[in-house]
Amino acid sequence: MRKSVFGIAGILLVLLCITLLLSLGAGSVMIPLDVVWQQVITGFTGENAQVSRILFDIRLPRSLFAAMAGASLGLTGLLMQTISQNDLADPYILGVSSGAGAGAVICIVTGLSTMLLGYGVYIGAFVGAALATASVLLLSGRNDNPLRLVLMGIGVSAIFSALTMFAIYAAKDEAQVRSAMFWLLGSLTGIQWKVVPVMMISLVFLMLFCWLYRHELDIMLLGSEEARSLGMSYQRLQRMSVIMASVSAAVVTSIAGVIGFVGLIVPHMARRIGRPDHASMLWVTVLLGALVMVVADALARSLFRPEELPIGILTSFLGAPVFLWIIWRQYAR
Amino acid sequence: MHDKDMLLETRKLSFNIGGKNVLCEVSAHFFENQITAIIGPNGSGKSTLLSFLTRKRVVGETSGTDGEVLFRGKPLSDMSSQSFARLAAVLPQFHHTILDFYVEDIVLMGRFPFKEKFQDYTAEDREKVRIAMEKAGVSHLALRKAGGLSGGELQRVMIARTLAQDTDLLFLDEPTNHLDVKHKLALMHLLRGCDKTVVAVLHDLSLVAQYTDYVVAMKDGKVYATGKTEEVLKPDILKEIFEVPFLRFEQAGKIYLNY
Repeated sequence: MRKSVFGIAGILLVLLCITLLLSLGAGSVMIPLDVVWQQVITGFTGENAQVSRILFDIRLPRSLFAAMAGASLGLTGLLMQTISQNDLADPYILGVSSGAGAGAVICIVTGLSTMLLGYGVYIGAFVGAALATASVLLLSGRNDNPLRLVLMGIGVSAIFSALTMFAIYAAKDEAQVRSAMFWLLGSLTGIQWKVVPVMMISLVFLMLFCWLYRHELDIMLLGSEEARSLGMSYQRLQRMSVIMASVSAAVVTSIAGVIGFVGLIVPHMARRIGRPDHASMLWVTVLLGALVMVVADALARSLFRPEELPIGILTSFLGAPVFLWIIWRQYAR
Repeated sequence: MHDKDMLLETRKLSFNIGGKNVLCEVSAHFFENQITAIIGPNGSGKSTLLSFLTRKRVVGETSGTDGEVLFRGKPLSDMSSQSFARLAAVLPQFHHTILDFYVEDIVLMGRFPFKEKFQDYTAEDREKVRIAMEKAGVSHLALRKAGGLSGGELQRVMIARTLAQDTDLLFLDEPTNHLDVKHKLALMHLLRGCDKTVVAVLHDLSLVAQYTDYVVAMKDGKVYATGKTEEVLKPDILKEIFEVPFLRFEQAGKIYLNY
């Protein structure tokens, strides 16, 4: 039967708001919900200045970032699955994560990270991701075969992974190795307000792109031949989508490292609860991605209090069983 | 020689892949508002010829090609792919099914060539989709997912998508694939009554005999015989093409073939 996307999106939006509110209370210092609420409605100028600072300076930017990063990863995953016509694609399939990883680790190991106003790792990661994407696009050339694109991605990915391993192996001291490993695991620790606008702009552009090209992306699923016979320039859209998805994945990865499984599972879940066309998938994927990530982040910082778990580990731990369950159900026939 | 307007023609069209002549100096004509069948044994170049008529392959762009493909006397390659899609709908032999899409959304894709950039499909588009689904007999499947359909149902959904494009020109590659007798006849009847130019690759010669106006008969990449259906579908010609003997008898102006 036909499902109402607005209904589903509405429910998800309410759930997201509740989760965001609850997530503010979670962390090394647990803050009761009534205190959080009182702080939120007073605009974080409540009686306890220390609690206000924790909530506004540390937890709010982090939770907002988590929500936007989750939305972005979910949508990027959807875009990559459409581009590659493969349900197993995720935001990193074209080598963005390996490129970003290599860039970041090389910056950490060579000490470049301390330069460039402290943005060294972000910039290194972004440059690495851009290099990886550019290589994939160059190698695919004028060929628009999606399988070829994915295989090029795997090849390029392998080269950058080897580079990362080499950089870690060549690191001089243990602190650098630890710092590099920590980055590779993916973490939202230390997210500050200054990175929130970048994340927001990237997400808005990604959503705008997916909305403007929602019907074209549907047609893309038919494959290049049928798309062309319906008058669509397949390769142009493929290129634009690869660049859009890679830039979005690179932004998240540069700031928070490699957060696995969110971009793979969220589109699958969205397909199950909503309609499969891109116009509907856009909203459900964005909201579901945000929801999943906010929950995961709240768990990551409160499960082993006062220690914090890198969110990448948690999403893989939670995501892999969900993924297995989806595949189990989907291929039951 | 012919009393109809020529819409589409190939002149000495040749296509060579890896030293093998898939098409060899094919000159064929397709007339406006007529149904032309392309027949021939497996591997005789029928689908390849269709691929040039539908711009899937283009003379000059595709390597190993020679000759001309003309639409109303002008090279087909001059046209943009969008203008061509507004003019001609193609039903491919093998299509890509998006398993989790709803049938109505798949048929709606047929309206894509007419959609303005960044706009939604209009009420008119949806009306054309409704009519096309009714004609193809798939209205009752509108809210089913493509993944749950039978081969014949899916083929009719694809036919509906082709009809939804509502073009004057239809290219159909083995449109009766997977269809049962009832739906085969319904489709041919529909094509007969729709006043469009139809070019169809067909295997079922009794359908060709009863429902088409012209035939292009191919063998080994060459046009073996072409002309009005009743002139081409003669036992001696067919025997040469298909290498089996045929019997032909006529009743009430209809041709019946047996082999």
